[in-house]
Amino acid sequence: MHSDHSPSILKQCIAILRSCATSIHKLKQIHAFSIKHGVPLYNPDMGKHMLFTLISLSAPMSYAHKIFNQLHNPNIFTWNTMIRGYAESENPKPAMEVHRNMRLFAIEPDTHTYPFLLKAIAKLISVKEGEEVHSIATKNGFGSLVFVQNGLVHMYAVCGRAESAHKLFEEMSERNLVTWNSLINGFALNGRPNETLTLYRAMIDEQVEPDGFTLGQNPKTFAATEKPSMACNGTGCQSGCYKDGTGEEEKLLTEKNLTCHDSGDGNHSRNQTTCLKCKANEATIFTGGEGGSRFCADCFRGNLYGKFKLAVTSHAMITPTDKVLVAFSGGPSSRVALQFVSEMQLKSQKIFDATAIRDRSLPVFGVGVAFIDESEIHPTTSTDFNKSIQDIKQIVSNLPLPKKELHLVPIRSIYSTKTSDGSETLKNLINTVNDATGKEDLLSHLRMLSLQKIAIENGYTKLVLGSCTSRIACHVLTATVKGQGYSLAADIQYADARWEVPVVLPLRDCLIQELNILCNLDSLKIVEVFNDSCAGINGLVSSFVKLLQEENPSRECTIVRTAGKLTPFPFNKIPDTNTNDVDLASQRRHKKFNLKPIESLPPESFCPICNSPMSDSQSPGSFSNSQTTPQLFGAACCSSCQYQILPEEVSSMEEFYSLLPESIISRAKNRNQKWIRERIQDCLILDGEDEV
Amino acid sequence: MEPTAARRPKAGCVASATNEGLLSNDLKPINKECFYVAFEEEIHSVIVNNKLFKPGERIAIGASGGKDSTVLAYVMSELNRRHNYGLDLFLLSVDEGITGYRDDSLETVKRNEIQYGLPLKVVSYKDLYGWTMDEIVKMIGLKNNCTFCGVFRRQALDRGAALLKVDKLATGHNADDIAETVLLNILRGIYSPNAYRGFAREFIKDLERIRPRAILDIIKSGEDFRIATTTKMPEQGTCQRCGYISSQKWCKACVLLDGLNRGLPKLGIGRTRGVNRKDEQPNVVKNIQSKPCGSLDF
Repeated sequence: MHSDHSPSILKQCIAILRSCATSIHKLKQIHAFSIKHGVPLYNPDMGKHMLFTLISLSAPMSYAHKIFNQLHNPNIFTWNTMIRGYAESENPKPAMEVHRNMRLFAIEPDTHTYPFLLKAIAKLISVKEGEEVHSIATKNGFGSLVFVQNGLVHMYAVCGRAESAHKLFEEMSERNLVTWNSLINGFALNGRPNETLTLYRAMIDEQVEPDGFTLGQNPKTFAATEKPSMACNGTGCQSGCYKDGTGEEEKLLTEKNLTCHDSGDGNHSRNQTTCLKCKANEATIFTGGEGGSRFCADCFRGNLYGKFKLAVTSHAMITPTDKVLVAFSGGPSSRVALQFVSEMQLKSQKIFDATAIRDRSLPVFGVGVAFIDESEIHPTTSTDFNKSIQDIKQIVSNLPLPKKELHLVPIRSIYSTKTSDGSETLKNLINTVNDATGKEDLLSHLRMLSLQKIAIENGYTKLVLGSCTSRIACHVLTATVKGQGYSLAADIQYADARWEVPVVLPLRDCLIQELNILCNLDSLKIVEVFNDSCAGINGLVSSFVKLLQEENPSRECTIVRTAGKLTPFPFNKIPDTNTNDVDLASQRRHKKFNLKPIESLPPESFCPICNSPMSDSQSPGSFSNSQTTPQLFGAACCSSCQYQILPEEVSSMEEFYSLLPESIISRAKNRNQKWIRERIQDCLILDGEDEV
Repeated sequence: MEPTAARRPKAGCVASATNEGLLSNDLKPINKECFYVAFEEEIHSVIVNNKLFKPGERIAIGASGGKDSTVLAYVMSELNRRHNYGLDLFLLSVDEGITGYRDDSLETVKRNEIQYGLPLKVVSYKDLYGWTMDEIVKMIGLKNNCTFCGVFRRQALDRGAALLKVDKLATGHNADDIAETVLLNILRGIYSPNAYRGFAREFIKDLERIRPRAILDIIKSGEDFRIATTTKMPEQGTCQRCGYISSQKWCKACVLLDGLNRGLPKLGIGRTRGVNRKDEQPNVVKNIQSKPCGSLDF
């Protein structure tokens, strides 16, 4: 039956189709007739007329699509018909896909393609797609056609982009009534009666005669202003395409417009230079991050502080009763952390002052600053060093009131009992480590140890680190490379309460580029105390990440987001403190987000050197008593530390062990005793149990 | 047929052959003879511990002629003989049908056939899909034909193995490849041109220079990652047309083939949800002679 069809049958079928297809039923009959008489399913001519008739009958698009799928080499008219069909249907979304496929098949668009497509987009209120089509149309040379431009003006107006619509309107060389209608209705729809009326007058001035669609849709907009007499309640709309304005729908539409504003502003309209946030000032700052954005200085600052604040409040990092210690290295990250914490403190101080008369007001959290002096390890001249210390003191004293205590503590202080030779011991300890990466890592573990020590001795309740997205992205890769896949999830969360004083990372969502920009913008002074160039694995990874980031500015975010999918540990949230009045009040203030439920897991054991949790498979052998030997200690470390920090030879290992600060040794003892206790807990008789 | 990969053949030869000798898997320098022994025994223990093969099974060794698969072919034939695995081994190569492209590597594979006494079977794209790459290029031009070659090659070994009714398929994937996959999974989510994989590979080579152990550590990390038990894993479906694993109704190769056979070769390239959403139907179309789309006028 699919034999070569004679052209005359085809012509006849088309003629019948044109004259007699007045319903879908009749059309189907004609279709069947044509197939029966040898017109194949895939015949593009027959299909073209079928589709056109179908769409004029507003038949369901599924039928049209089935026919379309059969066609061989459909031409541009057929493609346009499909787009138009979808644009006029209930669900205009597939119109975009049809267009996309059309481009894939390298079909040249014509003058009719874009008006239909833009109609579909306007229905979807999808400004992003709209901008895409705008650029494609311009590229293909249809950007200056009045039909296309009308469609664009309409699309922008409906999508809540009255400015874009107006800009386009201004640039149009030829305007007609439809253009004016689209623009005026656009402003009316966006709730801007003044502009609407001005435009309306301008239209009259240009001697364009208004019709039923001018100002037809939104009489409510003018309820408060002078209601123009010619506003008519146009109901059915063929060119305008808005729904009739009942209150509900209007509200819905406005809301949709707002979301369009936010989501659609991503990558497009590069020619615009206004700030994406306030849309008023000129953007001066261009950031990478997710999709890249542009801001004016104020909005940039606000945005960055907003990220910080969201992290703090949603993870209960700082509560009014806290006393937080900010670890300050002199670099941009910790400088911003210090600045933001101070600003936050200042704000709550103001609230406190304003509400002090009421007795239930919240106390203001305390802030202290810690700087770890590592001059033993990093050689630096004493003049340079003294200068840096002076700078740091000045930075801290210039922070907003109340005054913050500064703890300048040398890293050798981890050797509490033998302070006199601490410096030598530390140097020797580092020197027993062969691996360059291992040296760096050991030093950073010791730094954490001394920060914890300062915090404990001075009664701080939280330790704030300035680790930013970029830093964490590097850590994700270095940890992976070092075989620390299991413990990785512990290090990259907002909060980390495995330490005696919980550690929080409020800048986890900020990029180093952003922090640098802020430091420049607000002339926050940065002090480079120690030359912090990384060698080995750490250096290699950070240059690799930097390269990736340059190639694509959202890659750091992607790395952190991917690693964020790993299951955190139970200690990765701030433990709930005893509930009393103050905490209840503070909890009210904190929007606690629904944190991912952390699965209950078997008790953890920790590496005595890096304090990372260890999986069962690498858990240490048992310690029967509280004595440890270098060998037992070595066996208790995680495999990564064993490889890159512990010396291999027995004699060096003994030396290494003898040089370790007391706190690490005792951590090995305590942690493992605790671990054993938890292990055998099921067999222990609980206090209450013997009474039963 | 379940595809298996000999997991760490190359782990043993972590490059860097220094003057003093080679480095073994645990990175202690050893001499050449010991290296062979250590390397082969390690693979043997992987095979035994993971119960990769059963006696009497028919095993295809994916052979491209490159170093990975050549080493695999050698080790497999050697261990099969030494430890009496009782396996029926043969080499399986894929010929894309690109004039001149496979000549050299097929020569190498043919040498392997003689050297290790393993029979060689070559399956061509023509056998598997009905089209050679040359024909495809003729049809769709010089652009975008990589899509076809890549998609087809991905399935070619599996399809070839199925065609030849083998029990298992051994491939030369090694520690470097797995480490690379782990890294790429961390860096994922961003579309990037082909250079991306090369990027990661170069990074791994740099790491290896500083710390040879890094490759094995990356794999260890990958195995240790705490993946939530609730994490939704993509469901593995099968293609309704050919039965090959596929996340969609039709696997990509079937979509591409369908496009080729219907004379719309660009059908499978890019996002094509709109046009692909059709009922399953055998091709009504008889003429696959292609006329460039959009050349007809109204």
